[in-house]
Amino acid sequence: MSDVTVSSTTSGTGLAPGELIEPDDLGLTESSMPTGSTVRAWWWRELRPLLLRVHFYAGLFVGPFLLIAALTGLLYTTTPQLEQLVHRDELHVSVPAGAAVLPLSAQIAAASAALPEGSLKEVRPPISPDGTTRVIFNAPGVPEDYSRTVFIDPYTAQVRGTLTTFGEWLPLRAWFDELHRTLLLGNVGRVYSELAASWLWVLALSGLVIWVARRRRSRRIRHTLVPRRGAGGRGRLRSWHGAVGLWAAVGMLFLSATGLTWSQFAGTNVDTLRGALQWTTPSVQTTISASLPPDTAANRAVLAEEVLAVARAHGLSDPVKITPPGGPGRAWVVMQVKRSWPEKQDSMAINPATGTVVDQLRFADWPLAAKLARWGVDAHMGLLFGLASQIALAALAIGLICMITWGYRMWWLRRPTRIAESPRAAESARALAPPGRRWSGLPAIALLGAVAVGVGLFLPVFGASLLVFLLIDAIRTEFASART
Amino acid sequence: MISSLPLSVLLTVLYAATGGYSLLRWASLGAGISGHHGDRVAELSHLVMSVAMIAMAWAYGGPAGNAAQIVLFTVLAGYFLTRLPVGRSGARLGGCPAPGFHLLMCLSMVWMVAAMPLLMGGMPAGSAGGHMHDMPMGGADSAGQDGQPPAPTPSWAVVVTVAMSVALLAAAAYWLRRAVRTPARPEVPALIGGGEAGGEARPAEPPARSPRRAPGRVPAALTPRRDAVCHLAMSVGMAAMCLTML
Repeated sequence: MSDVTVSSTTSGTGLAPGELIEPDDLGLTESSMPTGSTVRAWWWRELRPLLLRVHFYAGLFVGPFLLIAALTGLLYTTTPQLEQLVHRDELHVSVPAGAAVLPLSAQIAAASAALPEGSLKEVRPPISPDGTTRVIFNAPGVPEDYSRTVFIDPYTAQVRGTLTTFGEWLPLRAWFDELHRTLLLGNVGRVYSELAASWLWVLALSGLVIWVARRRRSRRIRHTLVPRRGAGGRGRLRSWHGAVGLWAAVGMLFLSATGLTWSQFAGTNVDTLRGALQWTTPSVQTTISASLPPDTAANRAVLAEEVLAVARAHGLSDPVKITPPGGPGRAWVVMQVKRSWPEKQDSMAINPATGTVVDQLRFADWPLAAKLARWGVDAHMGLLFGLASQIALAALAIGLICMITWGYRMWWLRRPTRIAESPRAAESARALAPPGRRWSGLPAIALLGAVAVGVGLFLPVFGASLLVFLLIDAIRTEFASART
Repeated sequence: MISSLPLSVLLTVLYAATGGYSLLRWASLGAGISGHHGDRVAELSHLVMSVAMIAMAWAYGGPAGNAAQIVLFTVLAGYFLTRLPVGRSGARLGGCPAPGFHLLMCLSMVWMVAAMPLLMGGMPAGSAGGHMHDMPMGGADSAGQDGQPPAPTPSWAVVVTVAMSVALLAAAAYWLRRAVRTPARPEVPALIGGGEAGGEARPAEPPARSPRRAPGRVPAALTPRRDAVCHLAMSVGMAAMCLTML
């Protein structure tokens, strides 16, 4: 594909300084190249250069953060299998012939004896015949949000191991999870992933619109959907970048939306919004008036077994977790914990003194928004459809890594220093929007600016990073203007 | 949060108007509208200040947001400080109009965000669970948390706040004078974002500002008089906010 000689009347296409201009950059097609003009809606004529500029600069500066998120996410997709391999001794037992599973209370007692300084937090009976029972404790010396989990052989009550766990994640998966979310830097590191999630949807949407609108004009659907064969150089890279981006767009938007719900600043706003719209995840009512038996470790082991029996008698099937009361006058809770399709998330609050069900909440009765949030979280973590989810997420991560790499390669091929090597490129760069001058039409800039203000308030890291960029650009422009 | 709902609403409307105007001004500079020149940094600072003031009126944000505002407006103050020597000649060439005024505005923002806990009865910023939703402003309800009496405000902090308010009101008077003396419609399409001597006819096109387009209906509405009114409104609003903190 040949470059186009650009007249000064095409100023305002919004390409960055130093870019070599090619027909596709200008929205021209081979058929329209002789005249150099196409009939376009005024709004698109105004909006497109701005979108190009946003996509280019956002990609350039947020690319490294997205690359890290994609790489760590790719590693995370492998953790279910790695976890089974690395922690197989804790997770699995050999099933003796004819052996029966010991009472749950005996297993909990064995775990409590192994970790006497811990207080019982949760019990997860095995989910398969060769699985272990997880008895989870709050214990001194473990990091915030972490616990100590004792793995018990359900047939012998022997301790198979004790690990520091993060929720239900064993150390290996917890480490990769932390790496993906925070780069092991704590709350400061969470800003990186929030930055990536805040800009991913912008890049996906702007790229999608630019790609689809341009190719639709040229009426070559095939070149929109699949990379072009035979193209060379930057054209080939752009073809791959665009086609892969098109297929990955829905996935990127999904990852961005679900990732933001976990984020530090935007996540708070999302929670507030969900609360205001009553989209929060419901929970069972645990308040009871009856007095409970004395709260000792041995007593809790027995109670756990009793409430599990009550829950099963009321139709609550495995896998479940059993949670002791959060305080005086509270019931035990037994909740299903299956996070793959079809999800099992029913829960029951049980009064251990009377053996009655205080409250019951079925997943089917959750509000749709809460269900969507549950499915979204589990899909983001590769749990919803098991191996298929993992493969899809890995493919998405690889696609993202490739797109970022191709994007940087394209930029490198048209880097500013090449202007010196190519008089035609220099002419094109001068004719198109000089830096800090005309970006696009006023309505388009004002519209996107207003949208950015609103979105920036809801997604603070997005707003702050956009503001920093605009300020740097404005200050650079003003100083450059002062010099001239 | 300002305890007076009407005042909160009034300031919100005021700053929504100045924010919208600044957005259009900034967009007109980005669009290269013929006859429009000015300082993009100044327009962005107007926009951010307007949004920040609305957020302050409704106590939206938290400690991180406050820290970010202090850093941001300090950087902007530094920028306007560097623009001071350029002064009038810079403004004539489309540079920053009234850098001294913008410097004052930025410093006022830094002061308000940083000194709010001091002025609001000794409560640390974000003491209400990471947010300032329970932080009263406006004098109607200045009791501390848990019913404790508020810590006394240091006299020097009151003096600084009053001095800021007086300076802002003086600036408002200056912009009022300019708004009155500036023609409603400039005779030549040259004066948007005008310099210290607003209203004077100056060359329409600064040398480094081409290519340009002829102004449309919206750009034509961005007149020097409205520009002065925008500055006036921001000055008055900020002075009011300063005074409600006492």
